[in-house]
Amino acid sequence: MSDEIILKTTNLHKKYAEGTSMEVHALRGVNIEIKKGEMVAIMGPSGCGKTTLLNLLGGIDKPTEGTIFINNQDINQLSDIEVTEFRLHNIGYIFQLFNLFEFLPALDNTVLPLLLTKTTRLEAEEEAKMMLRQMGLGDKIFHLPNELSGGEQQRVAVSRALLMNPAIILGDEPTGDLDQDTSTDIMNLFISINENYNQTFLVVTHSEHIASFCHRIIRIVDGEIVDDGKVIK
Amino acid sequence: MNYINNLLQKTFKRRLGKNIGTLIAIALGVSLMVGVQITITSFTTTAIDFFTDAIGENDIVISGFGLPINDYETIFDTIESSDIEIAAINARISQTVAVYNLESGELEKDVTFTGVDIREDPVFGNFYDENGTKMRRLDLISYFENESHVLMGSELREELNVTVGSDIKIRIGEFNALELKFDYKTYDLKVVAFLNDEGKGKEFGGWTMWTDIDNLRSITGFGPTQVTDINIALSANHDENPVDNDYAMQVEEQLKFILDAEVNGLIILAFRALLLETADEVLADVLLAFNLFGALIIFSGILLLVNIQLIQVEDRIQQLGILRAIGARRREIVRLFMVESVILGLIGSLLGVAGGYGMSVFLVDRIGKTFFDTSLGLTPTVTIGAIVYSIALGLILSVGAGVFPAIRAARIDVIEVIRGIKKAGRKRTGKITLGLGLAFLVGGIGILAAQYVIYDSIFTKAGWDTALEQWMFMGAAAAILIGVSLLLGYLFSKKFLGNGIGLTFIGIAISMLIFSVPQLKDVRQNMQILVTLAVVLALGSIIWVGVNLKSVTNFIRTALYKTRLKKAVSLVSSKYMTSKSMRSSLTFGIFALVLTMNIFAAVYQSTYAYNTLESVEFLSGGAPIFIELDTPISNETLVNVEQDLYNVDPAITNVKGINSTIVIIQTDKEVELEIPTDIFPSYVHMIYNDTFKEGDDYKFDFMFDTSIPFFFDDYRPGGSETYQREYSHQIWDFFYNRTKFNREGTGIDNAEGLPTVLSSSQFLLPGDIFNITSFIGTPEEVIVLANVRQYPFSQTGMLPSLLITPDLYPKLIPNFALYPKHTRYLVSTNEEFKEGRNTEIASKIEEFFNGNDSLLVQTEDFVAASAFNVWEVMIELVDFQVKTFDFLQYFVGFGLIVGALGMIIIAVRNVAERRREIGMMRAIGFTKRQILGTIMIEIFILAILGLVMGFLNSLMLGWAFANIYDWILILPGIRILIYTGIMIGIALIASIVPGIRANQITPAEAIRYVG
Repeated sequence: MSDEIILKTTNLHKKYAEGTSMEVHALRGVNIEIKKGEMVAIMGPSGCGKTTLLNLLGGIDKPTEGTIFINNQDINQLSDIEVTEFRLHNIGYIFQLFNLFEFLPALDNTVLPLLLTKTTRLEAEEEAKMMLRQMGLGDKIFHLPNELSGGEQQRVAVSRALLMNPAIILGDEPTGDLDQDTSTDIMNLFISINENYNQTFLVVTHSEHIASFCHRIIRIVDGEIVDDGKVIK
Repeated sequence: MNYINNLLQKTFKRRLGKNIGTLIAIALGVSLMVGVQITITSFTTTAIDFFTDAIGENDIVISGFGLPINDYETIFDTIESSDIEIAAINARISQTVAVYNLESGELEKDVTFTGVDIREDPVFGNFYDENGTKMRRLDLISYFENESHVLMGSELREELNVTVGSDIKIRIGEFNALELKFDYKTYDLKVVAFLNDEGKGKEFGGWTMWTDIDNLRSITGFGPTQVTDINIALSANHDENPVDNDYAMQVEEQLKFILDAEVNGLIILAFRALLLETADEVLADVLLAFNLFGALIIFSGILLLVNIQLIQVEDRIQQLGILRAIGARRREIVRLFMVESVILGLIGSLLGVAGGYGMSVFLVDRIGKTFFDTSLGLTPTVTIGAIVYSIALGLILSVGAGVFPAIRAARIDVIEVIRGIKKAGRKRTGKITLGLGLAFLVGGIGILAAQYVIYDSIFTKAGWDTALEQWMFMGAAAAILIGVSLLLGYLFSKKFLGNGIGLTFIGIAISMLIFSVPQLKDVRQNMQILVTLAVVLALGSIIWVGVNLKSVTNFIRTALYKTRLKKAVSLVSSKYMTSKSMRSSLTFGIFALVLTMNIFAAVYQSTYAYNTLESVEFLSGGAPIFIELDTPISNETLVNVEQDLYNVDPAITNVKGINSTIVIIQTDKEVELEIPTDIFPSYVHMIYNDTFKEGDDYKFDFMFDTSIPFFFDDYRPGGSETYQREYSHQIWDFFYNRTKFNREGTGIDNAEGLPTVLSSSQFLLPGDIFNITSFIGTPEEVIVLANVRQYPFSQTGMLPSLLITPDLYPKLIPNFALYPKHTRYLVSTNEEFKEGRNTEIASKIEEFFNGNDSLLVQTEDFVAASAFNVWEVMIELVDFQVKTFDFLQYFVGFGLIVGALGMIIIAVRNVAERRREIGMMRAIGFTKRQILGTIMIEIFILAILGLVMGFLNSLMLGWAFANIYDWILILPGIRILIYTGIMIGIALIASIVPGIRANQITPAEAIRYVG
């Protein structure tokens, strides 16, 4: 971990159906700073605004108020195409289990982001294969998702997220569908990546167990941060 | 169970938008089925009405063949005292006359002038005035008070340009009871009223004139009990109580017996039945074309329906797992899907019936305007059968496509279903496949063996020349190849099975189209096989490409990688296609079918028009103008046609006369004739050897076919014109020299040296032996030597034509010496065949006979002459076919529009099911344009695949169609390009619309479906 701030939000607000009787104030002035190489867990009850926050950080959605800086870039100032390009190069996404294209084998699922860049297909495939081998999937690169276990599928998702060497990896309940042993394996994998590559992670989870693997836990209730503290291991 | 019902209601509401899309697609599919059936039924019904309206409620016509029927009242008594139940009977006197407008100088021939008893049963129709008001009996009595007053049909009124009070004169036969012949005379008449030509019976057929029967008796010199026709109605209203054709024919036979028809010289015909059969014959070609394209349209409707139902069900498989997890049993789940499919299928099918009816309203209106020249809106004929069939098919397909995947999924492990994990299917097939494979193999070999043993045809020279042999061969070959495919599927992999079946269908269709179908002599049966093969070919291509979709898309992806397109876009779109191979196959299948029917319709039309019209000059035998007189010229001192006609126009180079009359054909070959009678009228044309031939030169060079393969072993069908001409000359010599012949193995035997005739009828084929009689002379037995293809002898309306030699003519017509005159003339000119100059010359020839300056008209010894430019007549004859093709364009156009709409709905619906993938793509870094590109490429590639397949299939079918008729294949390049362009346009729309729809899904919304 270094002191370099990789992600910073200031006074982040998000309202849905603003100005109507259905208005929902999902986030209320969220301020977060995450340093490069940090592993942060975001916890909170259902509907507290975790996923909204993740979407705003990933540039998927726009805040009603406030700023988001990732790698010193205010992503709210970017156009749709620019933010998509920014996401491709700077943000890796890992979701729950259903986050692979079921019709693509592991290699193709992994290589996709690189194929959106100018990298040649052969180079991209080589990199993806290397990544999958590092994840212990060297013998399963041509397997379709339905031929892989849940843990293996998540490894493929991690490979894909890592392939672009992003500034930060956002995980939305990345172990939500896995049993405890496999979840532990995945989190150990995250830690290993974090330690070896100084990779930053921001993980949304319900699980104290999963959160305990992180350096820091941010707790949100009703769209506000109520606690932001280090994990005592 | 309540929770299932509850769930059903909730999911139905929740997915309302998607369900509406599914409903519309099902409705479109069913509307194609319904629309096609209603349109075809409406066409048939309208056409049959069109044919039968002219005869009112008549079933049986008794006539005396040229001579009067004597003592009709006795005939009435005999019939009424028999056990034949009749609705009404009447007697009339009718003569065909030429009518001359004394004021304008216009002349028309072949007008039916009928004397009618105004008290006759209204079953035979009523008179309606020109405003459509039924005429009162008192009016009729006052009209017919004067012997020279006549009512006139509306068509004739227009042609003759007469008004009420106009004076006309007619040339009519006066019966000479001593010599049993008609002496022609002129008679002055006055038109007192006009008739409306709509409706049935008397008022129909605007080409008529009417008077009282006693007036006409007086004009024609008929005795008080003499008439020309007796009409019998077996039903007073055929719409409500139709008369079965077989029953009418039985009555015909019974009447022949009780009236001793042969002895009394009576011709008794079940006229309505004959007319209906003729209508069937005339309509058969058009209906075949409709059925051919209708089958393709219905097939595309089926693909549409199955496609949307698969989409509807596939994305709900996960819900199925959840249901299993909360305790629902398999049968409850299947029931849930069943209920939903039934609801969707039923509502969609009902909507489809409404849509199909709407489609048929437009098409049937076009039918009225195109074929029957009616401005009245025709109402579609809706049959319960068509609706029940379409709803049933719609329902079966909806439920099948909706429930089958659910049944399969319900067998899978609950967890796997919830996770959306598909178990990799077994590569090989099971033991049932082995059993089926063996059964097919044995069955196929059995059929072939039966064909060999029973029909002994495979290795005979005749080949597969009957439809039954063709069907048996097709079935046997298909069974054997499918059996082999199933066995390969069992032994190796499912891919072998798919490839085997696909290639079997393609192989059988193509090999039959190339090798087997051309052997079939009956063109109509050939076309029926063509209809089947069109669907088999389409099905085979879709299966084959579907099975190999992975290889195809790999190839396409490799090509796309070389473009500037982002490789990720190419990867996702091509792999998605492969993963949903069934749906992808259905998608490109619809494109293939729609293009197939459009291009094939264009090729069909162009090939037909080119070959028919281009052959006219060759088949005219060098006679661009043909003259018909209604009666022979009695005073040749006024006009000697064969000499005087040269003065009409300097371009005329040759004029030859032909004696023609009508005879009766009596044959016992009822079944072969496919006409519900063994006796029917025919023209005979007596032709001298020097009519065609001067020395060794043929001045008019007539062509014959059908017989040639029987007489000349080395004859090759479809040879060059010179080649056909050479063989036709040999036939001509055979005909004239009355050579005795016996063609072993062909069934053609004339060892007795019967007189030979040349027939224009497809019912009177080489080798057929029958009697011809005029009832005045003795019946003569003749044998058909060949079929004449020559215009105008092969185009003499509804009656067949026979060419006979001069030695036969006097035997048929004993008083021939009184009628040595010609009634037909062949005229050649030195003008270009297709040039309008021949029309001008034909018009001058008519003026020569019928103009005010004509000596014939001036001396009141006029004949009515029609001079035709053969080329123009042929164009008019082809007009019906051209109209058929014009209509077909509307027909297939609807297939195109509905298919395109269906494709767009399917494509949009497809995107709606892929929000999760779109969300992931957005998260990974795909821009909106790249997502649009992914969706577009996917659908566009499927469309192009379909278009290539459709293009090749339509060319194959077009080639086979041309081959069946021995025609040159004409490819209308511009139209093919236009249709292909339209389809590419539709493909673009079908890809852009869902692409845009995909981009309307906000990233935040899309991402909700992930995780």
